Amino acid sequence: MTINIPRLLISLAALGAPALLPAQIALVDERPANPDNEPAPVFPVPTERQMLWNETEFYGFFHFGMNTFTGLEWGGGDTDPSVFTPSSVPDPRQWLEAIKAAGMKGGIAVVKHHDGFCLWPTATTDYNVSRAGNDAGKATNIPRDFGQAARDLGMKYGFYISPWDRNNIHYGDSSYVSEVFVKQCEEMIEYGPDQFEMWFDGANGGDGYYGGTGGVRQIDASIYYNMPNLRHRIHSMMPDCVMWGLGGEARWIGNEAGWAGETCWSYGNGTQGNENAWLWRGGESDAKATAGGWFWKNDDDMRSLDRLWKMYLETVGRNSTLILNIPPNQNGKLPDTYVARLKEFGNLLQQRLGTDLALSARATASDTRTAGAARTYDASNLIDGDKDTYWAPSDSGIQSVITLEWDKSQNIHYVALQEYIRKGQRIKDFTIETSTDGVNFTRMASEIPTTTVGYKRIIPLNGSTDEYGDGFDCRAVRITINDAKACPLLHTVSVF
Amino acid sequence: MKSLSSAILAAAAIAGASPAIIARDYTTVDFGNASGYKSIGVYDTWERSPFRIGTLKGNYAIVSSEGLPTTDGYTAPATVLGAQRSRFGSNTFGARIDLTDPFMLTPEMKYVHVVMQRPVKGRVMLIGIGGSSYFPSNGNDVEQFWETSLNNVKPGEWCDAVFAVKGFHNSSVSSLVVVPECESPHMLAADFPFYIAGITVNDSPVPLILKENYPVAAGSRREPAAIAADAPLCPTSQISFRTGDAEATTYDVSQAADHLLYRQETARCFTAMPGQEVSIAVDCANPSMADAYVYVDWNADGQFDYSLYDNGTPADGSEIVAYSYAENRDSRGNFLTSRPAAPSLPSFRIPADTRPGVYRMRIKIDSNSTDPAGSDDIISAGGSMTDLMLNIHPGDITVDDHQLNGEVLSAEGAKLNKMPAKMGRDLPIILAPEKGFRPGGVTVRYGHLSGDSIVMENPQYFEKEFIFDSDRFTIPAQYVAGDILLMGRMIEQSR
Repeated sequence: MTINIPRLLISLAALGAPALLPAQIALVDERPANPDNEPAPVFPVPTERQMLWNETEFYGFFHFGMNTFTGLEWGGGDTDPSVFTPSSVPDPRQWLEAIKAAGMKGGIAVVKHHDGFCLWPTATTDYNVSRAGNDAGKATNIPRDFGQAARDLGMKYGFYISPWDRNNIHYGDSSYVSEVFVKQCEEMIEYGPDQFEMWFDGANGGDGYYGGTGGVRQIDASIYYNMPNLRHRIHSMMPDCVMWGLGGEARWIGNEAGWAGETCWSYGNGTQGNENAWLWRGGESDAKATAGGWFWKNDDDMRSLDRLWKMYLETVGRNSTLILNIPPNQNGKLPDTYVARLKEFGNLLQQRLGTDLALSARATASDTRTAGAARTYDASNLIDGDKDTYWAPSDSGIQSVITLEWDKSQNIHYVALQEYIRKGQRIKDFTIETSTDGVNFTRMASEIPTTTVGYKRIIPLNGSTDEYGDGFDCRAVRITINDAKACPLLHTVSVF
Repeated sequence: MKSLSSAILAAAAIAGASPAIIARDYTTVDFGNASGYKSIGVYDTWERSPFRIGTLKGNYAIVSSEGLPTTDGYTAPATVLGAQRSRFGSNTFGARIDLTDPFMLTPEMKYVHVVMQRPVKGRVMLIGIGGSSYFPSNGNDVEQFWETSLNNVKPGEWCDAVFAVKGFHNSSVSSLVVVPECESPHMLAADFPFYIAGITVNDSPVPLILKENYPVAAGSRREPAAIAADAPLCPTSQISFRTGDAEATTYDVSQAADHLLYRQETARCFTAMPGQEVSIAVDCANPSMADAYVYVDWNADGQFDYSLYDNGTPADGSEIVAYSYAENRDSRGNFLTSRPAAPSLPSFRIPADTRPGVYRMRIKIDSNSTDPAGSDDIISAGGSMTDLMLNIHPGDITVDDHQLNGEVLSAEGAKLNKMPAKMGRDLPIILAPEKGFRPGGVTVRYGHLSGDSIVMENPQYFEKEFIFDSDRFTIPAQYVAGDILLMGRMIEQSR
């Protein structure tokens, strides 16, 4: 997206120094037109690229590289490049097809981990695939093949490129940033301008090989990587690419176990965020689909479907994205058992969240904002399948009630809410009730803190992310917003 | 963005913990001089801002400072920049000043001083705009930093908002944006004006307007006056703090070595719960001549209100919580015919509705004066003032962890997802590293974790690092003070 930035500057030199200055500034009544009667934003709000990133929701993570062949998690940078010997040229298409079957919308591939070994023939260092130990290794080019496969499959893609480089002799100097790291990021641009996320790990500095000099090198990660200028450069070439972690546009959720806080603001830090933080930084949960490390190990196996389901509900269902790691093996492929589990998970996801019963309901609200010239705020917007329309009450209608009703009884397990976060995250407290007769309502999931919503919140009506249960028969669902920063805005209510 | 440690360091420097620094100016902005700045305008980081897409122009002008509220000890220049904070801009809307002399960011901290005035409370932000010689194609309109001020900018008076900035080599800043209120404007009923008298960039965090928070008599907290070694009250040796029947916490604050009037001990913290009865004892030389006073800045405004009712008890909203003797009374209102043989501070109760937080507390030895800055005679009498922190938190706390290469678990092996615990009790934990890693220790962050990290110079939480190689460890009770975030230290097994 290109933004026109009028500078709106005046030059005193051009005007000449005024002879008589006004005493204090006179306020002017300057306001934009609002023909659609839209509510005022509650800041901070996400950028367009952050919106697109959030909509990715669930995507894969592929840790593959030198560690796949050494059994290490954090290689020291001292492994001879000839150790990299995949038995066949890595097959990112197979990776992406497998996660697409699991319901994921994209993936991030590691192209350089902390060991510094680059999985493409980079010009920045000879510690790369060109010195691999076999022909398949030398033919490896992960960013090229991963990006191409993603485009072919209609999936989003991006790359993990470790800022910390335990191989490079220059690490710790400014020359490493300007001559190695930044140029490696720029080389990634050549593999596709439509990347959705660039992943910068928070592990930075420590001991390493460092060109044979060894020792410990510490850096000030807040400034060392020249991130403001790198971010601008990346955005100018890849406008939809969110810079994760050190890049400052999306945050680590604070754990690698696959859960976010039940209260989770899209700004601040950690599992819960901070209601008062000033900068939008949605949470991303990085978690492992396997029971072992991030890189493939011979004895690792996929986690159970129940465990993966729990992760999904506790991340995507709690206003976080989920980036789920599935490590390719030494053949450069995902093992068959991994592929099978991913397919099973996709089926489970479809079975449990594939049919939105709200689409056949009648939606009403206790308060509806007056329509504008080209926009309405009716409750029907909640169930029209359009994320760009939304329900809104009047400005004073913070405490509002939404009701979905069906003519026939429905068996339901989950209610999902999505705020129209383009105008800020607002909801602070809500409750969900069901009714078998449309008159008498019973509160559901009362043991769960139903506080924030954000991009998406999925409430298991039985209060459990472990047990699917038998569901609840009802003819009506009532959602009461008890508190919000300002009038709540929801674009979708789903019932499964 | 600044790290907490650097922010705390800078805040501590403002508070006077570091030696005096001779400031070197890198650039200045003077609105009374045609060459004192290049141009002015408004700016908003929000990409859909009406000020970016051209719907609105913004209201700003060079104006006279005549008629603006004045501030003791500061004379504003005759000419200042005035601007209108529009409620249609985002929380990062502000006045943009293009600099005549751009300055370079460095890995070493520089400080931007913005002397400003506004009618509202809230955070103030500074945005630096410039470029980098390593990215010539970027141009010079790249946002290089966003920083909130290290100090509080009080409404209705001239204040020097101090911003700590640093950056990668060869990054320049050619424009500054002063955001007068970095809060969402959606509840703002009307626009408001704000004024900037000038900007200075130097290497000193000391505010240009020396209206101190937590003032002290005879000098400043930065350069505390010395008392005579043979002054009658000198020296104070230790302060003990006790809640209920609990064992007292005692800190050595001896003046014996340097005889300074003021001691900043804000890295030290006493802990209490709302509603608890607190007893404080102060040991000092010549106790028969000394009176003791205790203040807590409950509203975090940088001052200790010390108003009393006629009977000598603290008035509503007063921040003098206990004193042993002043005008023949103590803080309970007891009539005393003369000064007690030793300063005996009446206990006091933490208000039950006190919000969780870390509050500034001052303990003063003086002679018949409730003034928190000290009496006129405090130097000659050999009194003392010590500022510490008071960590208030309900007894039920929560424990979380940051999980990287492993987890921190409860003693029973359960995950710490907001695990409830009791304040002031030992906390046993288990470190469960990921495969390929081993336990290396834990850093405990404790205090008030859910708000700003610094409020009115005062850190809201503390950190303590423990290094060990076992998978089991018990966090000592003194660090189980407020909500807890545990950051496990997992070391690669190959290292």
